[in-house]
Amino acid sequence: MPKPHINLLYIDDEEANLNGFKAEYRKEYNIYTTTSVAEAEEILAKHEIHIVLADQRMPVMTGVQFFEKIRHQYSEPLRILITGYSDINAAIDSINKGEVFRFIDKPWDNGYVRTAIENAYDIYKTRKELRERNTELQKAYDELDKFVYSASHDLRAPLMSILGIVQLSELETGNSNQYLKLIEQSVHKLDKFILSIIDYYKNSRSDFHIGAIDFNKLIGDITESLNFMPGFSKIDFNIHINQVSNFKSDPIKLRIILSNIISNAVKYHDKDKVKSTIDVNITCTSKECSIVISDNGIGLKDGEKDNIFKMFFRGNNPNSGSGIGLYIVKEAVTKLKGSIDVESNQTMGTTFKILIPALD
Amino acid sequence: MGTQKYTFVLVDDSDIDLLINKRFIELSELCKDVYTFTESQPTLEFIKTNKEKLTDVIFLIDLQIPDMNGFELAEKLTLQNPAFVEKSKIFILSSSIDLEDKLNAANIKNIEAMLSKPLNMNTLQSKLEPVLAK
Repeated sequence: MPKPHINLLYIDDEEANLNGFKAEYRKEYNIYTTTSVAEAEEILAKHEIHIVLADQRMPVMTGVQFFEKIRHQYSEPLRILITGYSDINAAIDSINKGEVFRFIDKPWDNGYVRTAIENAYDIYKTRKELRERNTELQKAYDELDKFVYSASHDLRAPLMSILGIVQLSELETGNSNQYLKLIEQSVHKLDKFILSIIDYYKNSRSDFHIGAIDFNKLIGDITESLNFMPGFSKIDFNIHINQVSNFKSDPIKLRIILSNIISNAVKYHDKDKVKSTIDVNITCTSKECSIVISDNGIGLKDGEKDNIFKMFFRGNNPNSGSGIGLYIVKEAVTKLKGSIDVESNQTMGTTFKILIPALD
Repeated sequence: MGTQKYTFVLVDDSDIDLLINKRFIELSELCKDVYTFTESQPTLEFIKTNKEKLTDVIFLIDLQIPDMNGFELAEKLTLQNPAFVEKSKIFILSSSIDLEDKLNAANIKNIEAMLSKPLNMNTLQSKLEPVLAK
């Protein structure tokens, strides 16, 4: 197996040591040597050095001091300290502080030096690969972000045009054409799916955006965004928010949770009931927030309760959605380290209870 | 309310959306005139030439227009015609999500609000009229 091309820099005030080292290893490694700190820095600047070896006993500064000087600007090369026996405490100390990777005591053992160099180079290589992967990963994430946002915009823009045309023709012709209503419903369904996919993507990213939560505004925004839904105007909302102190959490994830549950409550209201109600009760301290959302809608059938948080599970219902909403809710609650429970039957309706701890 | 009428300036690269928005505005009680533009440069020139004649102007600007974004156009309009923009109202109209976040990120003072597409009577009544009533 051909040896990798390893670039070494060796600094020592004794020329004899440098020459001895070169004579021994010049066939295996690419070696730069110098007796001066300034020249060592020039070499580091000019060449991609993998490993730096320094003698501890030098007149201008010690090897450890030299490493301290270069480690911030040249953090990538591994550092090996060469010492005599008397400096062993300094060497141990510098290893423990992370200044050097290994130390080699003089007079050195050739096999030992080779192992140290090769181990150091393995670490150099692994770290470098890791950095490259991280850079690639970050780039891929950034591109995915851009893609998701531009794709969602490009998908939604024509959809919103269709919705505009439908609403305009309803207004202009003055009669409520049943076909137009169906187009409108389909457009909303597709739009909801696109928004769910974006929510899913946002939620799957592990980064948090923590901010103070204003539940009054949040609930207000959500109910307003749902007012297009069939039957919305006939539903009585009873909203009680008891927020005595500042509550910090991730507003995006909270919006995903609340918006999905409230839109389900609207969607599955019971048309046969005289009065449809949705009760939202939020009690919030600086440490924890309890959210209870109850409706008197059609409720869940027996056996559905255990499955509603599963991806692509769809209730046995002619009006059911894509089966992604509550899955995202569950994911978001988990990410916020909270809990969610559901109680439901077909006479009383459905109640979701959510507990979310504050984030800092 | 209902007596005050406005001149609307719509900027959007989508002809369909311009048509929809124009019709809704014409059908509303707010409308005196509607001017439509698909690019920012002609918009800027139109305002420069006609700002003495125009009063009670409402801008509805799409976020993504080909040569610059809606925020940049709003900023250019303000820079070139500070006194005129002071008397006018600028709204951003877009189908993008996270409108609030974008507005906060852009942190632009002279934009009244972000409106979601499609523009319809509901949006005009619930979002535009409260701002105009101030």
